[in-house]
Amino acid sequence: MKPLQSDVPYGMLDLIVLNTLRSMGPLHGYGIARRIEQMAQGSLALNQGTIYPALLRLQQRGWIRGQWGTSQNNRRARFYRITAAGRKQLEAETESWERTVAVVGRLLEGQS
Amino acid sequence: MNRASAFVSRMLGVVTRRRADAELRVEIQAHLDLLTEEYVRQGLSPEDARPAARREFGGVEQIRQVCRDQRGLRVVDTLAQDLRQGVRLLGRNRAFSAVAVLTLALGIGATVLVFSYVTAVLMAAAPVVDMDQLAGVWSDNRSQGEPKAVGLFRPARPEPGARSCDRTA
Repeated sequence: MKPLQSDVPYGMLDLIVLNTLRSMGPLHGYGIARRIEQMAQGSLALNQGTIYPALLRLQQRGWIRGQWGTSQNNRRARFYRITAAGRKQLEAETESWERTVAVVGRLLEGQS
Repeated sequence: MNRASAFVSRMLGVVTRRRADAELRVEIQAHLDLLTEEYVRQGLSPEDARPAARREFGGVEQIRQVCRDQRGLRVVDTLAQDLRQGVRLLGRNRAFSAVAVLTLALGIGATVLVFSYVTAVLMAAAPVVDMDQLAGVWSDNRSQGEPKAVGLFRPARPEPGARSCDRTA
């Protein structure tokens, strides 16, 4: 059976990308997409291309920085790294996300 | 602050758009290459691997368009488009454009003329020092209606016994 796949809620992708960059260090777009897919283990329906608007958004806010470099197999690639502001944002967002999940969880529990 | 920095980078985006767009194209191409290689490693033939990579990536053009929109200010973009369109239309209908330009030029010229006249003659202060030492002289001939100004004069030497006389009818 095909595993249940959910779309990525808007704004969620930014958070996931930030978290990936924090735990993995600098990565190029393909690396980020691969890593997210590995972590989601097939439970996320993600067109890999959609991370590029997210990367641009994060750069514009100063939460990540992109730089051209060379990948292992000698290919020109743009590598992204998280900035100090990005770490702070990630912490704040994670906290608020956890609070939301906790509240929703409690509300749904009460109904069953 | 984030909002501000996002705005600034969008403003810059309007300027550096072309380069950023080209860079994104290179970046996406590299991504597709890597994805294709991965599929080949998994056993797909190169002919099958490329379309598979494209499918997994999603619409390349759509994504580039989303980034383009995000990079620039929509307002500035559409304004530039409108301007270009306007210039094209002007070029297409030469005679109409010439008449329109001429009309505008005459209108603006005439308005400027009238306004500078009014400013210089009626609004600007007279180029003299000690305005309050000046005396205004009117002629007042009832049979001809309102009093008429003759001019402003400065007495060469104030008369010791000078006084204003209101009306000598």
